[in-house]
Amino acid sequence: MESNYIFLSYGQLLFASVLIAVNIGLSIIIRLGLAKQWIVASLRMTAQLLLVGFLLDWVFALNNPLWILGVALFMTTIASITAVGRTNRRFATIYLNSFVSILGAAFFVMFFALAGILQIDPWYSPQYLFPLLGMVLGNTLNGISLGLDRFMDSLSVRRKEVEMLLSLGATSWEAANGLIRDALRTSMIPTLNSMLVMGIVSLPGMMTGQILAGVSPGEAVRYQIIVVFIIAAAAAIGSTAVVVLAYRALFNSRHQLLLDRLRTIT
Amino acid sequence: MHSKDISSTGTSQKSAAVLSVENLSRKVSGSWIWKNISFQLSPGERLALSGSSGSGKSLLLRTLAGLDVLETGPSGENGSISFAGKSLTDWEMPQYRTKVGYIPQQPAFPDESVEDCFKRVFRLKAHQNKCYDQEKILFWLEQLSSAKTADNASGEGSFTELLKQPAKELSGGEAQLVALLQTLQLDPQVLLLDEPTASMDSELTTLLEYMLDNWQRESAGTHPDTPYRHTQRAWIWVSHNPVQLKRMCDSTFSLDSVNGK
Repeated sequence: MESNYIFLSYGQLLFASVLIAVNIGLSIIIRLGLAKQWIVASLRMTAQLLLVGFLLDWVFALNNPLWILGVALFMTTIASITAVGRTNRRFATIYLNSFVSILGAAFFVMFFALAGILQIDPWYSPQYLFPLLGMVLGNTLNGISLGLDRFMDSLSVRRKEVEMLLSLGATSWEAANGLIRDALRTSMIPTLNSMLVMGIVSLPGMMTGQILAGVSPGEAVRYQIIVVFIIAAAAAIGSTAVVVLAYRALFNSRHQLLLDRLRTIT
Repeated sequence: MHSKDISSTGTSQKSAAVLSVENLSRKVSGSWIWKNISFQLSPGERLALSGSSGSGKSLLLRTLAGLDVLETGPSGENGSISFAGKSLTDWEMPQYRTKVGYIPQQPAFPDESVEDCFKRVFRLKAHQNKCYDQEKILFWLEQLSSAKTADNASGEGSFTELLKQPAKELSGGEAQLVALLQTLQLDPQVLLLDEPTASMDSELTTLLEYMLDNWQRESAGTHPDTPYRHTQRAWIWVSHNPVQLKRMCDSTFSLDSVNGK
């Protein structure tokens, strides 16, 4: 399996980085003003990935469940902060809500996949856990930030509509569930669309990686299918949880909309 | 006159009022808009709520509608609102809001026809036992359109056409009208009207005043389960127009005098 796998040297990496000169060159010629950003981004990307490589090598070698879960938790925290960072409004418990939603969604699907579908022993085996978790977090983060942003936005924009319904005797759930459904649809559509074109327009990264590593395409595709299902479920669970939690934070039991809890970030 | 549970709570003076407000205070970004407001609305009373711009008339109506959280006053006192002798905290909010109908100055509707907006109200859990009554709506609309249809035989401009219109495309005046009827169909005990004719022309304003006047004089709450069915309908009317307030109201509560402005 590893017979045709090429191990890369740092020299080869350096050689690849020559390509960024194309971007820099274009930026200078067409005066896009992005030359500096390209350099910074290249350096950051390289440094971050090398660091992650070292970190994962180290965690793989330790093979200690506490360390593995610790790193997984750290990744989850970063994902939940990033998800909130992409939204334009804030309320007091938004980071906590985001964290709880991502953690719940990721933990549920990861356990289902690792212990149930793949039946890996032990289920926290880092070789499987980290690549899958990375993909799950990335997609859940997207779903959560889209759903959360949309929900908070429509509550602000359609406040009069919501409060008119409340005035007519609607419960807070009756007044808000249209907005909740709308936010969830917004958060799920990207996942749905990417599933529709998968394999036709896009060859998913994990599958490509496996093929490069020498796995037969037929085998790689099977993993990819599982991964897509995991990702879709995680994104759906995470965004539903985060939107419902936001609903609970922004209404009280007296069926009052508490928009003063919402601050706009400029 | 009132049922037992009403007379047993609070003083007899309080139970006579349909809506009673005590010690309400409201702060907006650090400064008090109004402090320690107390007043009562008697059955059948038509109360004008006056005050200069920024005196918090709309905020007071929102608060009375139960849309805003009651704030603690400057010296830590808790404000309270009670309706039909029962404190707001003891009311189920949807029930309370059905009885105390609030009509905002600038209503906002969903992407539906006007009639669907009227109908959707009855899909709410609080109104399960009631259903949409088109005749009632048409009865009101006819009162409001009589003048127009008389000199326009083609029916253009008739408000009966209004039912089919997309609610989002209504003019300001029509939107106010639809919002009012939407609330009236729930047979509220008290109306909280925030500049109800602000976007209407003078003709429609006259017709609407006449219609509301009739509505207020009708006996309220024909539903047999309503314990206070003999209570007369009342309203609190906010307007910048003193002449209108004089026409439509028989008592006044001024926020300016409360705040010593």
